[in-house]
Amino acid sequence: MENKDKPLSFMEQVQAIPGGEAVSVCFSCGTCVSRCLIQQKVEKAYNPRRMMKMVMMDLRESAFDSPTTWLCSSCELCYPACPQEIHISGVINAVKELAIEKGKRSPLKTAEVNTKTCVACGLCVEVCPYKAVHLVEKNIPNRGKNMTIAEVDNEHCMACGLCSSVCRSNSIELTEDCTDENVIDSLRNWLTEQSVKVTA
Amino acid sequence: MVDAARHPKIDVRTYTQVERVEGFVGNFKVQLREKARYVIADRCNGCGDCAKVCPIEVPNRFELDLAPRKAAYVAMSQSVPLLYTIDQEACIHCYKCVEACGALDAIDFSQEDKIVWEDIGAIVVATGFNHFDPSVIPEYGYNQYPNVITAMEMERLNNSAGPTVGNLIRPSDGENPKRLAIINCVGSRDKRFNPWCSNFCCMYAIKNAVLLKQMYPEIELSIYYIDIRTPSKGYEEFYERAREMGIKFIQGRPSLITEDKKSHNLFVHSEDITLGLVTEYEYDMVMLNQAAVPQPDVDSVSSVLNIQQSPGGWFMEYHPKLRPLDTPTDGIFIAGACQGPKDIPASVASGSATASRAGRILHSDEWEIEPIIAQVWEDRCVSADGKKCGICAKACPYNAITVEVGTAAQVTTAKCHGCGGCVAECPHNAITQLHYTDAQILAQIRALLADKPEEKIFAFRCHWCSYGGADMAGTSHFEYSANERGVRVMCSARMDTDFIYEAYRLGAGAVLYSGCHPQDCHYITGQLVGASRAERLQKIFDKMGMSPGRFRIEWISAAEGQKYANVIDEMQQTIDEIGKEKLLAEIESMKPEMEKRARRMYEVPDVTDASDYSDKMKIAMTLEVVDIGK
Amino acid sequence: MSESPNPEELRIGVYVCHCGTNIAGVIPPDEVAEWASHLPGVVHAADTLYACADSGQTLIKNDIKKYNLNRVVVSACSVRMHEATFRGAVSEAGLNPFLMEMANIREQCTWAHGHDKEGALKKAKDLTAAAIAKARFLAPLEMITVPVTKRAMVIGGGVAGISTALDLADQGIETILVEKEPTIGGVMAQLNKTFPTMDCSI
Repeated sequence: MENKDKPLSFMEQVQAIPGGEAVSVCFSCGTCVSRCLIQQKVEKAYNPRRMMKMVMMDLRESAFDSPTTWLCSSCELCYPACPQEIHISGVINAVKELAIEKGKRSPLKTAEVNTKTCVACGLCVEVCPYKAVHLVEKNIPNRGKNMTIAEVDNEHCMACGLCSSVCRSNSIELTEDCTDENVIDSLRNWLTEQSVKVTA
Repeated sequence: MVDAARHPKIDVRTYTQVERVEGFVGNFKVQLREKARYVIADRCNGCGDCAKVCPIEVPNRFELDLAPRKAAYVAMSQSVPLLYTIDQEACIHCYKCVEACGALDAIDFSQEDKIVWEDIGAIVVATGFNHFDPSVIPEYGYNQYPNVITAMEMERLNNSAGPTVGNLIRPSDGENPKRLAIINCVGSRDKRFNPWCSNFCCMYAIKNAVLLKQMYPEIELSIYYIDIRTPSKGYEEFYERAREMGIKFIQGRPSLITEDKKSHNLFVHSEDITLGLVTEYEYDMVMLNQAAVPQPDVDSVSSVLNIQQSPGGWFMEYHPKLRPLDTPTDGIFIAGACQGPKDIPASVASGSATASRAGRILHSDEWEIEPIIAQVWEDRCVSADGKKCGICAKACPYNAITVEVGTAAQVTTAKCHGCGGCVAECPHNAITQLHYTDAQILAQIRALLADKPEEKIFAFRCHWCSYGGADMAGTSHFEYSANERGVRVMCSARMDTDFIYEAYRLGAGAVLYSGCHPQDCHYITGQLVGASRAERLQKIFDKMGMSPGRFRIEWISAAEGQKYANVIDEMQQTIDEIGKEKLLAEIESMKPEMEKRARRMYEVPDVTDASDYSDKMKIAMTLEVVDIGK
Repeated sequence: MSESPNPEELRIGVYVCHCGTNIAGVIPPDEVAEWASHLPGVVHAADTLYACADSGQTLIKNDIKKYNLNRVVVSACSVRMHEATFRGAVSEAGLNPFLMEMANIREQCTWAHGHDKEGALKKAKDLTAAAIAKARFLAPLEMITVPVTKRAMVIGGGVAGISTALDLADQGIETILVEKEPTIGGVMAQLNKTFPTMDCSI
């Protein structure tokens, strides 16, 4: 009460966001890191344990710039393994919210909507685990005014591709190497390799 | 061990359980059940001929089930006393043992459990701890992967008296392991199982690593840890010695163990925190350093001996700093790891210390106890007028009150423990409790509710538990509403209906009726007397239309500081939600009824008469020696 | 039995403890004492840095004689902490120990309401007043003495129980050592060599 006017520390801000409450009880055992598939398969610099520590030590900028802030897919493998029962993805998402508030942007190549073909059926909105797709009203050149259409919130899209896989008009796709065509190509290559192995 | 058995002053009773404890400091009566061994102790010479002929084999629990034993058995060769026991659950009654025993004639299948009572002056409880079962942690694969073993299994496997005569082998193929990992904090420092640090496992891991390194210089040893704790004399130096010997210490808690199905080798997945690298090393064998947990029968021991438990089930000391080995019951002490995880030096130290605590009593001819007992006002007791009543006797957990029509009820001083249940139950206000008289308690209630009573949360607390819970809230700095005002009585049985009515009559915003949990009661069944009264009151207040939550019944142990703080804050919220205006109107409308019901308050003299009133309480206290037996 | 107080007049002494900053860091003890000094029956009220320390106890003992006190109220910590201490102090000064009453303004006040100084001060005053109110009705009591059976029972035959039993027995006390298993020794008997001496555990 004496410190009413003191601004909240980074940790207090994180703790104020639902999911971020328990960050301060982390004792850095590393269970989450060795459980994490993102760390092992995607990005070596990804480290939830270090993220907890950055929050506690008030290292706001380092946290915002860390890949950990942007790459957590909330798969929740770490949560049941944590001996301190910290909702780790909750903490990371709290940091991400604060980062977005400060104008930081996700480095991920997110899903994109083809505004020419989208019929606003809403399937993508329903399946998105990150609530990153919404139906909005927009003016679409050469199509019409106040059209209802899907729109991706780039900060929350985790590029999982679920939207793309359910879309019936191929109107929402991941960019670059994860387009439908690319995925089908790599799948074909893999199958060919397998069959070569089997025949050999 | 042998010293204890040989000591002329020590009477070792093995295979024996404590079933009941009665009485008080200096004068306990303890009921023991000596389980039938089916072997006559005086005749058995420990030769083991019975075991040799016994055809039945069952797993030996002493060897962590790694080796068999017979139905006629001793747990280990150094058993004290070296006395065989016949396991009736396994025995097929072939009577080959009787034959083998021959002329010694030490086997007696007609034996039955024996119940004996002992007179005891002081009791030391040293019931120890148990080991956490790591099979409930699926990611470590205990019970699935043969080469994942517990620390206790390791103790037997590298013990020269153990099932492998000290040859450490892998359960999967009998080979000596070349690479061994020890994982610390298995089930401890883990909120999913036990939040505490088990105290001795760090040193224990290092001890085993050093021993194994001495036995097998070629072995590669890694210890996975969160923190290494070496707080006592010589411990840090021992840790250093282990590092000098080449034992690897990896800071990081493994998240997963996987197994190669063919070789049964194990892969431990962990972050090496100091390197910031995720590692996956291969081992031949993994030892899980399991948590120390309370004994499985801790609840029944608690209730037989009337000892409260700290969170998790460890026995609770009376005061963590000032009386660390005492329990709230004078004359009962706690030693060793039943109080919380302790290593061997600490257990021995606490054992010696309790001997000294108990010795204070046992070397005295007499011991003083507080005179907080019940006293009958003979001129008020209706039994003296020839009426049948006896309500006081029914409330007494100790059978300390005798009621005969024609004479006033009589309290046997030596039996009365001073819960105050009879005092509160007596409908004629004919009994008082020394040091907790109606006048004293009502004076406190009035002082506490003198100013703005409608803002107050008035708490009745028992000395042993809920007052301790309030203390614990303070010691832990769990803050709660400062509108709480409380009085302390010895037991919730003393919380007279009149006190509650008086608190409401004076305008209390809310009233808390709190005491111990039923199994924790310091006065056997005192809490039940208090609880049934509280439930009656709740019904009365409901009928009167009192806003829900203004009267609250909560059982709070001395360890539950957080609960105490939460309850008070919830009650504050209740008052706030009702709103001041509505609350004041309700208090005012119920006042006449409360006044009518609170009979006892009229009898409290004014302060000016106080010393006169006190003088009447000066009662010559004589001790009647009575039989407090069964 | 100690002398009974003069039935004509209550003479209560009140001592409000600072407990260093444990109490004084939240509320002003001198204000509580000043306020208590006006309550009926109180003839002397003072604050003291550490009531339980030698200096605090001496102050109380001297005041009992100086002001001819027949009741003492100590507004300090929990009865679980220091009731025995202050009972001892007043009886050394010739007062019956049961004429001392405590108010718990530490565990149940300043420690529990550290961020509500105003509320804590009100509560500390009320708790002190309640202890004074009870003190007005206190009566001198004598301890009950009971005989002692000179036998001990140790429940559990592990390393702690064995140590207790040996120490009691060496003091000449007859001791029953009860163990539910067929052998004594407990967990210790199962262990291989033990730290720090690395010798056999049995």
